[in-house]
Order: sequence, then C-alpha cells, then structure tokens
Amino acid sequence: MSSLFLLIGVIWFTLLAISAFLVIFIAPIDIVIFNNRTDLYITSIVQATIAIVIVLLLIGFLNYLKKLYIQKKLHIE
Amino acid sequence: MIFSDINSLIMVLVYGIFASAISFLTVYFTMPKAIAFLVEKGMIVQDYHKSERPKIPRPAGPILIIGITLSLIVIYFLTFNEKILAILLTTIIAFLIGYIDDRKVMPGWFKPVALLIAALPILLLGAYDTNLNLIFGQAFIPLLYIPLILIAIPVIGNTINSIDVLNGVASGFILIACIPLIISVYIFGSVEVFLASLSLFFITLAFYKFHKFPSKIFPGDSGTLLLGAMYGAIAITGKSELIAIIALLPAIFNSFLFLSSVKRVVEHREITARPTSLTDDFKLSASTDKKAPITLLRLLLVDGPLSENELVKKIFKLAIFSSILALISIVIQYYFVLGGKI
Repeated sequence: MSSLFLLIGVIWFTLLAISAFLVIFIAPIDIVIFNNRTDLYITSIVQATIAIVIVLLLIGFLNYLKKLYIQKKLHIE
Repeated sequence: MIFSDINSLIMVLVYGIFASAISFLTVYFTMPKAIAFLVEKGMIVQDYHKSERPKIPRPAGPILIIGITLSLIVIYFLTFNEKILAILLTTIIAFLIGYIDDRKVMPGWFKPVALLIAALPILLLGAYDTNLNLIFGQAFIPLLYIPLILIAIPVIGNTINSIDVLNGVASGFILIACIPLIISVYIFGSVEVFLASLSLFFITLAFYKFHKFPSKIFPGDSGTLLLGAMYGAIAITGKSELIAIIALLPAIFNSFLFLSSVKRVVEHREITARPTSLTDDFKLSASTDKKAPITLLRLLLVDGPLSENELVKKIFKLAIFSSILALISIVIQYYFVLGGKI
C-alpha cells in the first residue's frame, strides 16, 4: 500500500515538473524564440506540438514506472 | 472569484444552500422509491462479491439525472450563465449514452467514442477559457484546448466508470475528489460553476448513502458516466483541469493500467481472465494468471486477500491521498497564478 502512495506521489511530482517546464519554457516561446513577431496561431501550433510531445513522453515515462512496479509486485514482465 | 461586497457573498451563500438542498433532497427522498420500482420491474443484478449473492437494483442514473437537472435549472435561472447550460447538457448526453449501455450490451468502443458528443456543448456554447491553469502559471492555448476538451470528457467519464467495481467506490471516490475541485473552482473559477460543483457534491453525498457497502442500488453506466462527465465539465468550465486530474490520479492510474495491459478499448465483461478472484470465505484475491489485466484492485491485493469492505477503504485512502496532493497544488497555484489574492 505504501508503495502505491509513493507511486501516486511520483506521478504528481512529474505532473508538477512538466507544468513548471510548460509555464517557464513553452508559454513564453513567442517572446523567447520568435521575438514576439509571429502570428498568434503559428505560435499556438508550435506550443501545442511541443506540449503533445511532452505528454507522449510523460505517458512513456508512466509506462516505464508501471512496468518497474508490476515487475516488483506481481513478477510479470 | 471576487466578491465586491458582503451582499454578493451572502447571495452566493443563499444560492449555494438552495442549489445544494434541491440536489441532495431530490436524490435522498426519491432513491428509495426508485429502488422499489426497479426491484418490481426486475431490473436487478447479482452482487457477486457477497456470500448470499444478493440481487441489487440498477441503474440509479435516472434519479441522479433528475436531481442534477432540477438543481442546474434553478442555478441557470438564478444566474443565466451559459456555463451551467453546458455542464447540464454534457451531463444529460453522458447519462443517455450510459443508459443505452445499461439497457443494451454495446461494444467496448461505444462509450469512449459516444462521449465525444457529450463534450460538444462545452465547445459550442464557448463555456471554456483558452488560458490553462498549470499550477505555476497560465498557458494560452487556443488551438490545443479544443482537442483537450474532446479528450477530457470521455477520459474522465470512463475513468469513473472503470473504478465502479465495488460497493460505493465510484460515488465515494467522486465525493472525496469533489472537495479539492470545489475549492479550486471557488478560487480560480466562477461563482456559477462553484454552485454547480456544490450540486454535484450533494447529489453524490445523497447517492452514497444508498451505494455504500452494502449497496442498496448500483449506479449503472448511466450513473457513473454522468458523474464522471459532470466532474469533467465542472473542471473545464471552472478552470480547474489539472487540479481535477491530480484529485482523480488513482482512478486515472487504474484506467491506464487496464488499457496498457489489455492494449485495446474493451468492456470488462469481454475479459475472460479476471484480474481478481473470490476465495472460499468470499474475500477478494489477486489473480495469478499472467494474462489477466492489471488493475488497481489487483495491485492492492498483492499482499494478500481482503474483504470487499477492506478493499473499498484502501481505495478511499488513495483517493484522500490524491485529494491532499490536489489541495497542495491549489495552494501552489494560488500563489503563482493569483499572487495570493482571491
């Protein structure tokens, strides 16, 4: 049971880390990379693409975590 | 949410008490009559986790939708806010999809695909904000937000549907996860959606009385889908998307485990190898079959068999833990997004 609490805690921490990354690096991308000169929707497409890639990476990471946990607990590959 | 004076705060309190009372009392007093009606009509299923295999009426969805509709109509006529209309329509569509599944055996893809329709009222009525609250700040995502809404309602609806495997789990889980949602909507959302979130809480509270162990009625797909879809619609219209995801983490994790082990969208009844089995003394134990899907229940049972009631309590402990994480996230978001001001 305590390992499940730990797992949920790790997922929460990962969500916070991704949120911080999106706010700090992706949200101001129009100013940082495009110098505030691009169309709002082009910026949005770039941001959306990066966000989707990050979410896919998150799913991959969660899958990895799950595999580790399952191997340890249920001894299933 | 900003209250300019004490009068507006009193008005919200009065509206809140009124909406909550309607939702709670409707479900509380009509449910016993619904139970008797369903038993009389033979709309019952066996509760396989008990030695006497009692016959339990289902679905409770129609009574829940009556309570929700009444209270949301009252809130709408008090506020004339389109977000309330969007929450109501999303919930009604989710109920209808669930009710079809209650009455007729539908394929596994039906609920997730059909629930895309339930997300449409939020989009068509423009009941969303393109600024997504991301704990440490906001992100302006006009393009990404539309597919996010289309994904969120089916995912949350099916997540609550998937966790409804033991007496009282779906309603109890929603009840616990509602607490951070209500607080978040109060701080980051609007007064109208806050009233709707109170309505969801009190309807679920009234229903929990009949659904808790040992259940007197089951929600059915119509009940779980409408509760999940309403929760999702409130999270979107109340600018509390990430807080809602954090509060629902154990339930989302359960769906993720199931989908990644089965590797396709499928109904639980179509699975031949069960994730849990019953011992001779009617305790639940984790399956040793390697082909059986991995679920939260199976993981909770790896240390040994548990009675249904013990297992329900463990799931609630996880729900309380994730709700505490959601409350911590609200505090962080409060300082980063609002600078410590409501």
